[in-house]
Amino acid sequence: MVHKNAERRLTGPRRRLAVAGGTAVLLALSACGGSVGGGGDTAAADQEPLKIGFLAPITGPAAPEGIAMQQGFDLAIEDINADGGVFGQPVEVVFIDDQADPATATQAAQRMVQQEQVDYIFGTITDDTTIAAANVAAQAGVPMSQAIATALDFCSPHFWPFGETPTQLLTDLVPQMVEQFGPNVALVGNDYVFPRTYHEVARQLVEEAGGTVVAEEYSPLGTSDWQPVITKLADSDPDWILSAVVGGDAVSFVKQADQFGLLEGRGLTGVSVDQQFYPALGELLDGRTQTVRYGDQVQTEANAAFVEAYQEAYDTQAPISGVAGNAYVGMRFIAEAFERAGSKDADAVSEQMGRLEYEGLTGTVRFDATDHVIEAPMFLTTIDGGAYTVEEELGVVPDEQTKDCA
Amino acid sequence: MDSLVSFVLSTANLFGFYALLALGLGLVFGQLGVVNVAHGDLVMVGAYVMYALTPVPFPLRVLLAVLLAVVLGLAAEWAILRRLYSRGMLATLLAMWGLGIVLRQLAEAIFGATPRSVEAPIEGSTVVLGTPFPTYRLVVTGVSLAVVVLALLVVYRTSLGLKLRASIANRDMAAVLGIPPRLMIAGTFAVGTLLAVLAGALQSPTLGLTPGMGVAFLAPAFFAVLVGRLGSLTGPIVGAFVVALLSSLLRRYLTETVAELLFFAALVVLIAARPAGLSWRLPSWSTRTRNVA
Repeated sequence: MVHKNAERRLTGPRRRLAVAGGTAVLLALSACGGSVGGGGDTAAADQEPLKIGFLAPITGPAAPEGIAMQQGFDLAIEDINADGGVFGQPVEVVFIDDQADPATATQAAQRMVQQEQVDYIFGTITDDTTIAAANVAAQAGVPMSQAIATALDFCSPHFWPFGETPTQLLTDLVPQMVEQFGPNVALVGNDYVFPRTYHEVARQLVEEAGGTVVAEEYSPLGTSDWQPVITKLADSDPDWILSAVVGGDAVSFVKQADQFGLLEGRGLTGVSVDQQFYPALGELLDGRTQTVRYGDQVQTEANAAFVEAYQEAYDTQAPISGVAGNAYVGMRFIAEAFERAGSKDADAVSEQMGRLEYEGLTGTVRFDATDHVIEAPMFLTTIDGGAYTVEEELGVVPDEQTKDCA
Repeated sequence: MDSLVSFVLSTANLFGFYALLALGLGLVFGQLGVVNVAHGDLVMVGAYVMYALTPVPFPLRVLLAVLLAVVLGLAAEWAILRRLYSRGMLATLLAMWGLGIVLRQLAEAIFGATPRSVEAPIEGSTVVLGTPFPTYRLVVTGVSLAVVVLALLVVYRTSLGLKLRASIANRDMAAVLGIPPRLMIAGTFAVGTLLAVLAGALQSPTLGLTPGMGVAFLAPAFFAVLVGRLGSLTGPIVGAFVVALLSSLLRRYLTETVAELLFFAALVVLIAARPAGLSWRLPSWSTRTRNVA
């Protein structure tokens, strides 16, 4: 069922995309300027095609994010192949749905490295499944990347996460919210690693900005009735709410918070106001502030072409979610690293991953070669009728981590 | 006082929702011997019907959802379950599991995985004993509980209900007495489906709609059925009340994760200690007709 579904996505309207995709590639290339090119021809010509293992939870509680990532990833593969592939051959993809379940992700990753013998693993969404897959990949010496905002503390010479770190997302957002709404902050989220780390970082930034955390509540993934949480939050009378509630829960939480009057005169930001929730929450999000790394309103030539290709491929006018943009840029980045390495050797590729400066859709993307933290410009946006309008270019937000992954 | 009122109202709201779910699940289990693991996905169907038909006025949409539920229930019973009863509970459970997956994938193919939402037909709050509470929730609570009462009246006070109970108690004997078993079975499954879809349609304005949303509702409904006496039709409703009250109480005083842990632990203990379900002294008007049956 799932596989059938995935195939359907790759064909159908996608065929018509060939021309638009080609244009996008040309535009992307011209925008990339000097950073692209070179490399490639040093490769031995007898290479097998590059094989990427793609893990995404397109069913289960993280499906909205999983499918968005898949859409960005598919477009990247299409554009890479339209552009001649890697080592002069089309890139092959092995896709497995991990259902946001660590056990499934482990099995899937094992199958990818043992049976399919992939050269690189891309995915997945929730941090626990990513760690599960990353452990398998690290043991097998296969390099891996993920693409969504992450609080992973995982470190390996071959692990290159494209997701935004909590520090990058919150450093500018928190002081802005304290200034705009006031010092009293309520933190709410689903109960797993990312929201807790996100809020740990937030708490520090709130205190640095002279604010106070007046409530902190977590509810398991898949919670539909948020009334008890909303009552607790309302009792603490915050000036604004930082929400790391994700998936369908985010919509339930924000809708119910509105119905119980919690949002009246209060600020709301965090992961719950991300682009993928706009179609459901609409005007409840208008006027609110959010930091993004990828946004469809960021004005670059490459992004304009990507937005057009994306909207046509998936027949949508909804805001394109950050993880889709990250996945697109991430996969193109990886393909470029392989070209430059000139081989599929993990060490050679990882060396290039740490060295490459790639002109992505919204600015230059690179990794810190020591701590593997991604460095790319961030944007402060205001949500206005579905457009995440850029208010301020924040540049690269530093996130100094002490780990040494190399 | 303030928080007590809002506690009572939100518990009643949850009870109304769970009672509709548990009644449908209990009916299907009692009459068909089928553990309907697609029950939660039927809630999802109800919610997505409300989303898909957004331009239609709200009450009419609920009616359309209910009609669709009857068609869906009859079709599923006819196409899937009919041949499987003789193969035992595992076969029907797996078939329903499959149906659930099909419904989720169908919803995803049609609507995508991006969360959706449904506008509430009534905005704003009503002040109840000095406490503001969302008006729509009050209305839904009333409607849900009214449907439950109506269903109980039909089951215990009409000849149709008598036939239903007779058929549950001993289908062969009931058939000998002229109660058509096929009709009772198909009808019960359609009603069970209807109740789940109705619950989903009514709650849709308070929920984030995703194809997988229904999975979360199966566990509380299932526990509600287990807590009540199996095969009894008031049982699931009593069970729903226990589940709603327990969940509200725990979540009010504890952190969410601890509350959920204790909630499931308490229910497991309860069921382990009383595997036949809690025994309640039933009102005499219900036991009277039972004896006749």
